[in-house]
Amino acid sequence: MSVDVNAILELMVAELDLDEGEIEPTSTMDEVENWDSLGHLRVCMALEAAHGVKIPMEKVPELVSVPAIVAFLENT
Amino acid sequence: MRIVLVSNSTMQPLAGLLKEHDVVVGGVADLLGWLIDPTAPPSDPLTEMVVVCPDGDSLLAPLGSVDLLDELGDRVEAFARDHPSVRVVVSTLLAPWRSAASFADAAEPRGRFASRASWDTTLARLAAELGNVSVLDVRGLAEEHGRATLVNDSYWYLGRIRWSTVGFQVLADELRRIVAATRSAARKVLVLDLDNTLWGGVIGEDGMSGIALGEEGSGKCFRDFQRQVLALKETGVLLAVVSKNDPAIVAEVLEEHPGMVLRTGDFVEVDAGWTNKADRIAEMASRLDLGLDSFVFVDDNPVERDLVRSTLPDVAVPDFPTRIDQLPSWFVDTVVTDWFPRSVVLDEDRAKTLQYQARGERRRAEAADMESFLASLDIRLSFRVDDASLVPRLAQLTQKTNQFNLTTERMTPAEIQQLISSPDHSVVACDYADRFGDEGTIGLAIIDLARGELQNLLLSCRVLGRGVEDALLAEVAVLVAARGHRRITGRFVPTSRNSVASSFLDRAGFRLLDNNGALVGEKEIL
Repeated sequence: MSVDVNAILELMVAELDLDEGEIEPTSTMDEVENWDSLGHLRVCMALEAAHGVKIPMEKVPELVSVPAIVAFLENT
Repeated sequence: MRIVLVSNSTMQPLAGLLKEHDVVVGGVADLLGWLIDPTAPPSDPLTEMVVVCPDGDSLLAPLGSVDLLDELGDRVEAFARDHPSVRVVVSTLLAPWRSAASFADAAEPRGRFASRASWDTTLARLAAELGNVSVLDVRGLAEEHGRATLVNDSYWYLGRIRWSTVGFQVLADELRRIVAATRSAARKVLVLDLDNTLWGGVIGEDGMSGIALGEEGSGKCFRDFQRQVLALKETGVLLAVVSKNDPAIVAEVLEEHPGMVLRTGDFVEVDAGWTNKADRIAEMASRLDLGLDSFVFVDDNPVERDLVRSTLPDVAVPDFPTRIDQLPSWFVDTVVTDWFPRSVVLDEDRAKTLQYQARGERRRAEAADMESFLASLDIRLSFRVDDASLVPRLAQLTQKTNQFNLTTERMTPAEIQQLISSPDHSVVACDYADRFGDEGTIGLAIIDLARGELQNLLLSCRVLGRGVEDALLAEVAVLVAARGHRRITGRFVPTSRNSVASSFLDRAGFRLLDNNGALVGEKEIL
């Protein structure tokens, strides 16, 4: 499926309680302060709800950057 | 509101959904510890609500700690007793209903079935004994939405998050309702329509035997709905009827129809008539001394609902279900939950209807006393227009009447005679008689017919308070209308002694145009 990166960033800003600009299309988990392990699960749950997909359990720990998330959604 | 969430599953996402509250969330290990730790957030003096939401799945799991539930129950009870001003909300247990013991589980004293039942019993006891304990029935939510929709197993294993995105939303909505119930945000009066609301069909057309109401077919939908309404009344909500119907027919149905669950005595007021429902609800509110924001109006007719919504925005007007089989469940799920939530029912609540019925009856008796007094007087009024034989008496009235006199303009017999002769003016004399005797000419009105103006109206104080002024004004209106006017103007000039007449124009429906020394108003006439 084609993926709107900006929509994903918007979702992450909301879930992680970020200010705009704190996350970019290239950001990784260790660069964003609020993107901790619980925050990561919340992002994944929100992505599932927003895109109507199920992220397999073992995939969740791999989606630790915006490009990884985009790539996963594009290949689903 | 400061809310503390205590659970052995991850509840942080719930805090994000309750942004209007200050929500503090414990970790998965804090379920038991926080309740007995005086330095933990539940015991903080600012905390207003503590939500205890144990994860049923892990507590009831095979080899899981059922004993933990007993301990949790004890700690919840101790905490609630020690913190009477904190609302303690405890959830039922949500877990897969199958167990490894399959059908033998029900026979196990510490099995899943027995454990859940004993937890439910504990919650019911705490709610009954302690006024500050409420139950968050997550199993009930699961019955409504489906457990599979509400939980999400993979995130439980990844991070002890039991609830799904939808599950957290459902929990947040339910907690909002519980908060509303504790804040006594409940409304006080349920105003009901009759035709196609309390029964199927139109009583005025279908008659007693034609309406759908009973134990069969669609009649049972309405009867079950009435049972729910009666149950709501038992919690202290006042019921009232506002219906477009003949009062005698309505009284007959309420007293005699075998299918009715609700009877006349269940209603604080039964208002059947043909006037605008919004006006009648507003009048009812003032009779009962309640604000319009205490009212909920249920009517199947969208036109009536829109009228009440737009005229009385404070009245809650829920939409009506499109299918009547949904009526009983819609009522409980929507009307009761949204507008009449409550945490406790006290004995005083159950007596509410009687209290308010007495209040309404007293008001009506006061009004009826006045009306029956007037009726017993057998008042007879007669009006004479431009009768020259009355000139001396009319002039005298303008000279001597000080109290009920709109302008206190004194006139000589010559001036009165001039007005009587003028084609553009009229002088209306009012004669009064009742069963005690004949009072003669006791009032007059002077009208400028050309301009549609009431120049003065006065009344001897002997007949004040008997509605004579209204009858005289009605006579004036007829004369003004006969000259082709659609409205009449009038004025009141205050003096030190005529305050008794000061509110007359307002009471008579005049709209204030000017208040510059004199009150000037105008009124539509037809």
